[in-house]
Amino acid sequence: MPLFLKILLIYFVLVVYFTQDAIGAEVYEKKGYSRYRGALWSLIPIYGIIHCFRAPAIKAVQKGGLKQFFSVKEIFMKLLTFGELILLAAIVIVPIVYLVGSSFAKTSGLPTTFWPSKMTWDNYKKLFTETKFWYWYKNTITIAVLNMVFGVLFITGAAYVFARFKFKGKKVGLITILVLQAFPSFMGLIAMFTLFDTFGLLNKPWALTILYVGGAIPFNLWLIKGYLQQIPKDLDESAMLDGANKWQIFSKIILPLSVPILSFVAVSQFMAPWMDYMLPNYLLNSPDYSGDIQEVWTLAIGLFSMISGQDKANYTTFAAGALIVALPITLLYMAFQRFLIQGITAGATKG
Amino acid sequence: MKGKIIHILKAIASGIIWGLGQVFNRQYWKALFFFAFFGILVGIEVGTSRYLSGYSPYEKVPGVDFNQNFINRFVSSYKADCFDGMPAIASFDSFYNEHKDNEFTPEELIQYLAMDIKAGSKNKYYVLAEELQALEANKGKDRPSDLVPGEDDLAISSLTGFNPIFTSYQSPAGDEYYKYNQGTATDPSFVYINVKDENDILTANDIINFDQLERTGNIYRNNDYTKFYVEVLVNKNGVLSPLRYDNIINTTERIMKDDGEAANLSKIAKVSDALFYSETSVYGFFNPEGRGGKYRSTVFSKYLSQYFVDFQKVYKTNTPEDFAKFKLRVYFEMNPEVKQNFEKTYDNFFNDRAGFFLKGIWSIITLGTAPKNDYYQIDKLSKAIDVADIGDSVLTNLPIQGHISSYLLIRGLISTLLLLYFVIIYLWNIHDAYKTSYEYANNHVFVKDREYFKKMYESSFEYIVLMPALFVLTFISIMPILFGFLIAFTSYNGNSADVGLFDWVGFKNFVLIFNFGSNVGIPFGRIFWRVFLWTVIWAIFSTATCFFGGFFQAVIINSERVPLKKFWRTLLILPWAVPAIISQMVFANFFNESGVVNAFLQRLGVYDILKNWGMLGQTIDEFLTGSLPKIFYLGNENIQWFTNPHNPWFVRIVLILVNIWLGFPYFMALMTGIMVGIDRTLYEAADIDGANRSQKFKLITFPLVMYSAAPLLVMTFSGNFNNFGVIYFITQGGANNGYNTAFAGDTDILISWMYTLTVNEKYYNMASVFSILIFLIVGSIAAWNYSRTRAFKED
Repeated sequence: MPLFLKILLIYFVLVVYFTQDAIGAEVYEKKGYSRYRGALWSLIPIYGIIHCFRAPAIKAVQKGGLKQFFSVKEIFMKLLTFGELILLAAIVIVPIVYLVGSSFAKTSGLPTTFWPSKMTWDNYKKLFTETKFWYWYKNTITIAVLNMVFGVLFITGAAYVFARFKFKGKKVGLITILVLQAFPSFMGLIAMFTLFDTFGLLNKPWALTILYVGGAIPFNLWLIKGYLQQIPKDLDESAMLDGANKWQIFSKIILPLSVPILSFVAVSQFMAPWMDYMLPNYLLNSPDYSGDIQEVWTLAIGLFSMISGQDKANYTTFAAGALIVALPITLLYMAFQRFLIQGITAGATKG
Repeated sequence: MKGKIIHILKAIASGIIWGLGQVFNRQYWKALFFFAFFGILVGIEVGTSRYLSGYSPYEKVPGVDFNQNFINRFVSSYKADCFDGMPAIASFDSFYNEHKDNEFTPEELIQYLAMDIKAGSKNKYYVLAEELQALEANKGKDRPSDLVPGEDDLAISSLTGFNPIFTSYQSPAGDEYYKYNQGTATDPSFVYINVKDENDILTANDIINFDQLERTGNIYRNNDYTKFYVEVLVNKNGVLSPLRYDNIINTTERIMKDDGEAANLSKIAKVSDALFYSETSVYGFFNPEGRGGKYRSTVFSKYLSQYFVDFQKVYKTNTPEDFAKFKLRVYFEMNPEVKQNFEKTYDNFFNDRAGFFLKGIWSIITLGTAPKNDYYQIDKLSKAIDVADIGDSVLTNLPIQGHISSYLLIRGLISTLLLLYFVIIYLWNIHDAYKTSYEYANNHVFVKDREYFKKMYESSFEYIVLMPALFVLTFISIMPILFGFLIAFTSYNGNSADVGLFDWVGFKNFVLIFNFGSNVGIPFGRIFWRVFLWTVIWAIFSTATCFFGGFFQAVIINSERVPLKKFWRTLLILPWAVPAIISQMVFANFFNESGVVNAFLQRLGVYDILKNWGMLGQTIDEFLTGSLPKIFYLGNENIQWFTNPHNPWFVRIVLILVNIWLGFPYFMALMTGIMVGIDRTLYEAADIDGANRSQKFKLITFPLVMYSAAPLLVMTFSGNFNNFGVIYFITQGGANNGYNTAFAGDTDILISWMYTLTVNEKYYNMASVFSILIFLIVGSIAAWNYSRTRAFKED
């Protein structure tokens, strides 16, 4: 059978399978059971849907009530819906499968199949023995931790002041920060290079923290400010009446209440250095470095260096490294997805 | 009125010395407070300056000067040698006797040496024959037949210069013609003029059959030094072969290569001096300052050199830089105008002596004035002060670092911004002096120092908390952006500007992007608008596709037909959770020409179909003869997803499609959240009113989602406008990037183009111009968006 037909057949079977699952779930629900359990039952081929149909109704079902699920239009719409979902899921998953597969592939160049026919751990061995992966990891994690700690430290108090107090220069300050945000991030790149050179900070990974912390102030200030403004001002005022000073209000009331947004800021501060390429590539790459320049790189530079060459010989090693980096981050994002999205919207809509 | 003058006088007093006005107000602690800041300001300025300690530009020259001790040793060594029977050097003795009253200083040694060497190396025209014979016999060098400028000017004026190296064209009749440019350097037009007769002028067409003759500069002499000849070669199809020898004085006297006479000629050592001839003799012009000229050694300089060598062999205390510096100082002594220029350039009051703040302001205004200079002149003294015997390398150049504009600008900005903080305190100090005095005189209110500071502490809680963030912001965000902003108005580009000077050029760089016509240089004008247009299209489409793609998907996932919503959502949100930079890098290889997608399509048989349609398997020229429009050209052997150099729009469309993968899950998740949050009762009410699904969507879901998500749309638009990663990691700006396209590839957007311009091509100023334009666009969008928010109106 040609490959084309094979794929088409698998696709068709999957669409039908999920359609019957949905029908099973709806029937189950109609009979008064949980829709979710119906869907789970129907995951068992054939038996599942039969189970749903034969289950005794625990809720009065109208005559012909079940029939509506079998109208041509309804089934067609379901097929269409699942056709789209499965196609999209395939598109979403294939590049990720390819990345995972490549990291185990036993080829010297670009793997040309989505999943390798021969599997090996060699790429991982190569990653740890022939590249400076450990250094990159170490450098990146150093920057990330420092950035997280200092980023939060620097921003919280400032955001509190901007959210809670009226003072001379507040509006000017806010507008200045807004203006700063509109500048392309690497406009200051050359200045930073010169600055780092002046103070002997070039090729020192930890020094990047200074820039990350400074650069994140405008965005985070707005974010936290937006969040803090939601906390009712009555809290402050009653505490003030009880004799608390500004510092006590901040530490005893505002700080505990802003833990969610602060942890969001902390996570995003921690994440930023992993994937930033522009700054480290410019500041951790000066050619007159006495030691092995690769040892001061971060992961982003290191990983990109493995695939930026013309021969793609290192692609499988890159895949192994990329997977090691991406896996924890992906899991973290998946686990906190709702939280993270809320964080982003909070800053934008409530600003 | 009279009272007012007192207040103003107090304010002025504070304006001169901080805190003085407060002293008159009898607020001594406050006065001390302000004076402390004044002290810090002055302290920084003076502490970082050379106002008091003095400065010498010679500090900039590498190497160490010979000290007094060394000179004393030298003098006693000289005296001892004279005592041992070495003939004394009269001129040195007399100079020494004149100056020995105190101590014979290093400066005096240099002074004498300069005089001595200069006297021994006067400009003169020497008879070449005599010089050569004298050299062979090792005889003395001053001869009465030498012509000395200033003494024998009449004779010198009758000399004719001789160029031993030139190309000419010889007619079959034997007439020689030289090439002459009648036009300008950029628009040349050549004619050929008879060497003997200036009126005999030929054009390029006339000389086609002529021989091309080359004089290579080799000079020959006859046996008794009476005649000198220059060797003439003939150039036949790039191969040079000897032809004849021309007498320098009388070119009509020629000795052909095959003549017997030619065997009697002998080649002389290359003469580095310029050659002249009179009717009777050939002269060389000795000029140590001329090209390749070197000063001659004197008896004293020879003795000194030998001393250096002996001393160094024993003690090894000096570096090659030390000797080079010594030579430079001697050379300066011989050429006061060079010395003066050096001292003027490298002893700049603001750069070298002024303190932190003054230097900073000067730096911003001038961007530095002293260029880097190479003092190759020290090589002219390599024979006079000859220390080659030491065995160390002898330097032939002494480069002196000038001002580096980029560093000056950075320091200038730092000090100016810091100064700004002081200015604020300064103004506060003046205002306070006036206000306190006024309040006391008019209202008899006198706030005691302690109360004042206590109140100040309470009301400045905000500022104290803000201080650290403000400080970091000033120097990490504002200062670099200011720097980036300012270099758009400079000539800062290229490698040399990295370590040297650049200048303010006003709006020249901005004008460049409106310059479409010029074919000279890099076509920034033409390319900018192309890149800009694509950036806007990219930003619009990448935002719209992801936004509505995510919306569509959220609707599907939340439809009642789909059970197991969580499963689907988790699956489809994956691209958002995978770090973007990694998926971007994977895509770059995924769609590689010999990558997995092409391999898959080939196995699937799609290639064959495409080849049938003619979209694949043809070169671009073959393709264009067909009927399909160019947009359908996918490549020749493989589909060139990101590298197709002939079909930029295909690559761009692919890029937008790939970006959907990266961008839709975020919007999907976001809108799912919004949809879940919509009040159920709205739908129930709609159900009661008999609304169908599409009506409910159109009238409830869509408007509510749009209301919440629209501000994000604007943010995403500006995010995509600057979406560096997608472009840089997937296509690296390609295809078609190079000099002719101002280094911008077909898919480059402004930000990735700027990155290439900055990091690879070092066009810092142009990159900066584009930064400013991006800022204007993104900034105005953001400002417009922000001004409509509730938060802005509240504050």
